[in-house]
Amino acid sequence: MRAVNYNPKLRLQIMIILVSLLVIFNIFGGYFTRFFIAEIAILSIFAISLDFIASRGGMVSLGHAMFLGIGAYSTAILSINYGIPPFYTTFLSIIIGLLIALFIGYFIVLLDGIFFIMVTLALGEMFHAWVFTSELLGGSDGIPGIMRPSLTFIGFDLNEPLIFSFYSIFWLIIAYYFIAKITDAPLGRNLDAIRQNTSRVSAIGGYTKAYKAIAFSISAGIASLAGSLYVQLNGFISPELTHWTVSGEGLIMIIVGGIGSVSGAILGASVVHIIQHELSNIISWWMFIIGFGFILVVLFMQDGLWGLIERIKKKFG
Amino acid sequence: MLLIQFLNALQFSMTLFLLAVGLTIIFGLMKIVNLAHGSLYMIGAYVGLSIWSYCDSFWLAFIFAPLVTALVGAFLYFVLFRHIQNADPMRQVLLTFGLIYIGLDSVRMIWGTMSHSISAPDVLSNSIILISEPYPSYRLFVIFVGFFVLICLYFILEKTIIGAKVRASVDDPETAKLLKINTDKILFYTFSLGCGLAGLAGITVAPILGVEPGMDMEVLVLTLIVVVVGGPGSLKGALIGALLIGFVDSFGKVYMPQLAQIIIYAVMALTLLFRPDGLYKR
Repeated sequence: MRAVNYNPKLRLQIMIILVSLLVIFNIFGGYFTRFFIAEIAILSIFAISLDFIASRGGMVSLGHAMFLGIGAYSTAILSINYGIPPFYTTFLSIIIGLLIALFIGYFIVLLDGIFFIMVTLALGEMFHAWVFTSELLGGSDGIPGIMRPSLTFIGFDLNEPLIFSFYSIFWLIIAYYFIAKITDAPLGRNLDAIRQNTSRVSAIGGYTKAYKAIAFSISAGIASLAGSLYVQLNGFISPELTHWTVSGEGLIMIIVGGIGSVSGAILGASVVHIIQHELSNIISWWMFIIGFGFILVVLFMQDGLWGLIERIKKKFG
Repeated sequence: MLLIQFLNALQFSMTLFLLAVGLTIIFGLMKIVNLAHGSLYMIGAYVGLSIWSYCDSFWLAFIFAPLVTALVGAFLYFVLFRHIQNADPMRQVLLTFGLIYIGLDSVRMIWGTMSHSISAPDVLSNSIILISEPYPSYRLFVIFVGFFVLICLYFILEKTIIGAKVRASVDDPETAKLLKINTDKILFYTFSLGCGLAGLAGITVAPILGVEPGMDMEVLVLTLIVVVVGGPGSLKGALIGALLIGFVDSFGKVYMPQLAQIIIYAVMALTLLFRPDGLYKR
C-alpha cells in the first residue's frame, strides 16, 4: 500500500480551525444545531478511529461499527443494570472495547487486505445478529432510558444541549490529541514500516503482529468511546448502530477527508454528515445521490479534501 | 420430516451456490470483492417480477431476468470495474458499497417500497408426495437449477478450451497474456456471467422468498461467508461452502433457533483460524 498523508503542522492547523468552527456554531446555534454539532463531534471520533487503522495500520475494517456497538451497549448495560454512574461507564466501555479488540485482533490482524475486510465485515455482522436476538441487549427494540453523565459537582449540566456538545467536542480533542501523539510516536512509525513492507520489518526483528494488534485495539477503544457518547446523546440504542453500512459510511468519510491525516477525518465526517442530512431533507431518493457521490469520491478524490488544502497552500505560499 | 429438512437445506444451499459462484469467479479473476453482488440478485428478482407481471409467463422471466442482470453487469464492468482493477482494496470495496446505495434507491424508485410475490408456474405449483409427506415441487426445481448450473460450469471450466483459458487467467494472468490469451475479454465475459448467475438466483428464489427492497442485504453477508469458508476463486470451494453454510443454517434454525445465526459465523471463524485459505484450497 502506498504511503499515506503525514504532515503534523497542517494537521494541527486544520484541527484548530475545525474545532473553532464547531465551538462557534455551538454557541450561536439553536437547539437543533447544538444536537447536530454533538453528532458531528461523535462521528468525527469514530472517523478518527477508522482513519488510524486504515491509514497507518493498513487494516480496512468494515466491522468497526461492532465496537461502536460494544461501547454503546456496555454503557447502557453498566449504567442501567449495574447502576454505575454514567460518567464512569464511558471509561469502562473504552476498556471493554480495547480488551475485546485485543482478543479479536490477535487472530485477524495478519490477514491480507481484502481478507481482512471480509472477516471484519462478517464479525461485525455476527455481533449485529447477536444483538438483534439477545434479550439482555433488548433485541430489535434496543434499549431506552440511558442517562447522560452528571457533572453537576463542577457546575455543568450535561442535559443542556450546549454543554453536552462541548462535552463531545472535549472528547473529540482528547481523541485527536491521543491519535496524533501515537501517530508521531514509535508505534505510528512502526505501523508505517509494517504497512509498507511487512516481511522486511519481521526480518529485521520487528513485532508485526503485536504492533498491529495494539493499533487495532486502540482504534477499537476510541470507536467504543464514540459509541458511548452516542447513546448518551440520544438516550437510547437501536441495533442499527452496529450494521456494517455504518462502518462503510465511516470509511467514505475518511476518504472524503483524506486518509491518514487525522484532522482530515474530522473534516470528512462533518462534510459527509452535513450533506447527508441536508439531502435527506430535500429529496426522498437521497441515497441514490449519496451512492453516486461515494463512487465519484472513490474514483476521483485521491487525497480527499486534505489533498486539496495541501495543494492550495503550496500554491499560495 | 428429516427428509423435508434435508431438501430444504439443499434448496437453500443451491441458492447460495448460485450467488457465491458468481462472486467467487469475479474474485478469482479480478481480486475484487463485489459488495454489489446482492444488489444484482435483487435486480434479477425485480426484472423477473416485471416480465412476469407484463407477460404473465414465469418461464420468460426465468430466461430474460438473468440476461438483463448480465447486461447490467456488463455495463458496470465497462463503466466502473475495468478502471479500478489496480486500485487498493479499500477503494474497490467502497466503490461497490456506493453501488449498493444506488441499487437500493433505484429499485425503490422504479418498483416502489412494497414487497411483491411471484407465483410459481402451473407445472410446478403443486406438491409431490415424497415418502408419505408432501413437498412443494418448486423447491425441487430450485435444487435442479443449482445442480444444472454446477454441472454446466464444471463442464465448461474443466473440459473446454474457453474454460482452460479462464483457469489460466485465474492462476497466472501474466503468463496467460504471453500465451496470446485475451484476458480482458475473458474478464468481461466471466464478470457478466457471474452477474447473470446472481440474477438467476434472484428470479429462481423469488416465488419462495418474495421480492422486496432489502433482499440484497440479507444474502450479501451469507454469500461472502460462503466464499470465505469455501476458499475464494474456486468452483468446488463455492459448492463446499454453500453446502456447509446452507445445511448449518437450515438445521440450526430448526434445532437451535436462538443460536442459528451465530453458529454460521462461528463456522467461518473456525475455518479462518484453522484453514485460512478456505476449506478447499486450489
